[in-house]
Amino acid sequence: MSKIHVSAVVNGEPIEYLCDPAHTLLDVLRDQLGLTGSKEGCGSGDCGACSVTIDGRLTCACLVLGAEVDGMSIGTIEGLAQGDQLHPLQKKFVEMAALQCGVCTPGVLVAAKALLDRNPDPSETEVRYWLAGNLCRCTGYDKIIRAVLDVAADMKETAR
Amino acid sequence: MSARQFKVVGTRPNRPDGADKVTGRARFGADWNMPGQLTGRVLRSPHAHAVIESIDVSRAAALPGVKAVVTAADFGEQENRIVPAGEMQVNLRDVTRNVMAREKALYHGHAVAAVAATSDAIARDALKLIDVRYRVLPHVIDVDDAMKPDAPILHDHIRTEGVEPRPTVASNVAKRIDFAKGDVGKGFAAAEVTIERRFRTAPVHQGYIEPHACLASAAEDGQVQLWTTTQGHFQVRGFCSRLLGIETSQIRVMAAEIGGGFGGKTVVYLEPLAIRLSQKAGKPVKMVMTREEVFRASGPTSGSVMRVKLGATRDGRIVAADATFAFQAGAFPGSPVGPASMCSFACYDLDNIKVEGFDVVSNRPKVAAYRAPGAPISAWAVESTIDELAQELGIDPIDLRLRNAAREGTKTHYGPVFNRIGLVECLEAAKASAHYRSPLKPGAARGVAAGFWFNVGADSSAAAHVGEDGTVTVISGNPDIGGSRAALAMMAAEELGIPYDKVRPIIADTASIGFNFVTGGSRVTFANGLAIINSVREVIGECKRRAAKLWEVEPDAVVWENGEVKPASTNVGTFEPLSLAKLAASAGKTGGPINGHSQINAQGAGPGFGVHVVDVEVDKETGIVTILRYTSVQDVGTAIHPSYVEGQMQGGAAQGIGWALNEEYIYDRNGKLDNAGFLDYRMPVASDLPMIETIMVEVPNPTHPYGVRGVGEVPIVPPMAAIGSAIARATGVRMRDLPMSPPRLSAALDAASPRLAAE
Amino acid sequence: MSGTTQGVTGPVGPVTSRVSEARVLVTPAIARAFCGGMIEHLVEGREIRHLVRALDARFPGIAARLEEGCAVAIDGVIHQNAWFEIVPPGGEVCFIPAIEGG
Repeated sequence: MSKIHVSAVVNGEPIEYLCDPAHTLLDVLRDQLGLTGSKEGCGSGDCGACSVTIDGRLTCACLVLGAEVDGMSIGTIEGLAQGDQLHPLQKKFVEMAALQCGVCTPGVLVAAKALLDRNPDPSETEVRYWLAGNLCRCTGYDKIIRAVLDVAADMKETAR
Repeated sequence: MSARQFKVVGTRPNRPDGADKVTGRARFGADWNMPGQLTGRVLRSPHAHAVIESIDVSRAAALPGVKAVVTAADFGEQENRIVPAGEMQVNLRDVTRNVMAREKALYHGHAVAAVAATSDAIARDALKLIDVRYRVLPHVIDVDDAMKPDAPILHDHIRTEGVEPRPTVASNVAKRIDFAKGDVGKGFAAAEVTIERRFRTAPVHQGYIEPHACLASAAEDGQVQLWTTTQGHFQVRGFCSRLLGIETSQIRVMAAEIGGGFGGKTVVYLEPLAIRLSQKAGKPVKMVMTREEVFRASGPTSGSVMRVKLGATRDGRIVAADATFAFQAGAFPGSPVGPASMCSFACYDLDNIKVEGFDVVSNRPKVAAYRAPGAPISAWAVESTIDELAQELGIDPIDLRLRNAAREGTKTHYGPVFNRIGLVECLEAAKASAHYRSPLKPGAARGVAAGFWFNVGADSSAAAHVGEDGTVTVISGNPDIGGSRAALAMMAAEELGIPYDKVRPIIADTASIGFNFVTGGSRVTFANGLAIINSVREVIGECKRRAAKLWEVEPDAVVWENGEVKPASTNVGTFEPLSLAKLAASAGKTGGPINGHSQINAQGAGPGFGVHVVDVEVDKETGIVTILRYTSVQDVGTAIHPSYVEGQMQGGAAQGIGWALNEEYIYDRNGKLDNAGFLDYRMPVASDLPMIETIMVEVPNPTHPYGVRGVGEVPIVPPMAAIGSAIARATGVRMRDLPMSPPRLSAALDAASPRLAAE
Repeated sequence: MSGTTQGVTGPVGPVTSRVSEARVLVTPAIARAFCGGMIEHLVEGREIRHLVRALDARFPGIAARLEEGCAVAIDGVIHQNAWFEIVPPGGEVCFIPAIEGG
């Protein structure tokens, strides 16, 4: 089958690629664009390790075809830091040891940022339910939840 | 050990690999690629038990884009004998058959052939063109069925070991083991209360989020490079060397960042296949398992059938303990029934103990290590029975354990006498905790359980290199699975008396540092820590020698303090202290680079104990259990980086909660695994759990200079029994089979109260 | 319990070194397979390897079993592959199955 031409924006940069119709967005990101920060933990949308945003909406990149995102804007973990400045979530995750092996971390961070973008002051329960699509087998989630709540509190403090 | 004042140990600095891991920069197993690489895929058995009558790969090999196909014929036969491979004791006959089925396929998902092709799509198409003729055999899945005399036999050569005289007929029971102390008959005769219970556990998977993945490049000159996600790249080298007949020096293994292992990445699955495919194709071959393959063909830990009998006096002294543990090993012998039997009563100082264990094969994937292998399984049975005893005697469950707790001088039933251990301190800390003293929410109940793991030391090599500016690189050879780089750098900084950020830890490949045993047994911070402290001490010794030469004084007239060499006293003379930076700057003139290295077999890993307290609420209609509050108490020796120690305690508890409440393998009647995915194999998600409170008790390990004990495995031992006991106290129904999933629990509640169910 | 000591069969080192007698325990399975069921033995030896040699002289074949797949607890402290470890005078040396861990 012939490849499909796709124009999209990835982490703010316009990008074009030719996509095998069977390839997922995750395949395209990892294998064609070299953005291996998004991980494949299951390929079925159950683990959240490939969490990205598509036009601002949190999605599992393994559930979307590469050909489907023509004209859309994709956000991945590689776009979270600004220049040499880590995003506050990234900083806090390191400071608070909110990762152990780190393989779920990119997906968790993308998902947590999507949460704070829409709800800058979530409750613990809201964070837990928002991140329920991101499996972590190492941490027991405790330090992840605390880190997200801490960033939200810092943001509130800064906004004041 | 004196109460040493630390400067770096006990603080919580940022981990050295933190930025890489929060930006997506860190390269895990599947993130390595080479130009011209092929994709490898594995054909797996659709049957639980079948003779492989023939394999015809000709149609697959002829498909354009297919560059190599391998079957068992591409791997040499191995002796049926236990041999060391990368310091592990393994039967290579079984290992080679597990990576590629030979005469028989022994489980649904067993590898039968593999291909390498120019694209994943072609590789998958090629698998469909491999013609395998199977003769399907009757299969057996569960351990009690496998032990029946008329069970289908997996291996005709197995005669139960540990039974005298050695049986003459084949059996699925590979081994019988036993341990004894005192006289249980006499003990039970003195008992005023006797309880005997039976338990079952389902096999559970380690559940690492990163599937197995590797990239192999075999060159025409015989040299092999391999990037892989593993807990032990030296073990991978050892296995591949043995299975493929390649000398270890010809295989260089680079450990990728590892996305979780929990014991499941201490063995090989894809690596020998990828290397052989690469050799045949003359190109690099990358192989990545799907999640379904991970479930069907890797891990898990054993399911089990167990019996525990306890005898006690009315005042709560346990006078006899007797247990039988039968563990599924999967398709080949080697369940963790040994450590399970040894750990079973290790928390208790009892006069009379008898334990018998059976290692049983069945048509499931071969089990792999899983965090404190075996210990959580026997603890489920023993700790649940202890809790029933506490209820029967009307004694607080912590008090009952305190009355019988192992302490310094306790002789275990498997032989050794404990030296300094911290179980009593943990029980006391649990009892004094805010959690244990808090009132229960109406309708909720509280459970308690204790747990033990040996912890191990074993082979470690490390080096410390001083750079020209006096900053230091410390080199070790164990994949960092949960923050060990930080702990190792902290110990180096502590010993040198320099700031943490002047030390950079790296993990070297198999060609760049000496041998290291796997990241497992909770050994890395303990054993690599020792090797790194030794390496740094060599650096300090060298610095002192150089300063003494420069000052023209005796070597023992100088001391090392806060990262500098100083005269030992004013009598030596007046000299400006020489910092590491100053010594490094002139190193070329004083004798060359300043480095230290150490290679040890670290002995004396301190045993670890933990106590968990949990409050639950049970929805009696649905059987859904809510964890309301959870506290994990553990003797951690000395917490080098407390955040990562807490992380181990929290993560182990969460895995145990999954094991207790949801996780299990479900097989259909044909022996096929029905729930090979995260949707149906349900691990805890963030909304299932509360915060996990931690109480770190520090009873320093006397055999480590900083008092380190392993901490990673103990926390998965107590959770299941703590939760089961809380459920029993909440509902009056004692669950004895895991998991206590909503359908099972609601069925048990209905059965216990048929009138209620009928309404 | 067998109290007869057979001494070490290998080099015993400098004469000044102390050859001590230890209480050596093996697992029930090893005891049944090699020692007629006897778990505890009094054995003389300066280092662990000497104990193993002495036991092997008494119970031929036991050395291979003790050296592969066994760890050894010396007065409670667990060692893996500890040929050269010194046997403390009057100490207890306990061979147990090797432990790997996850």
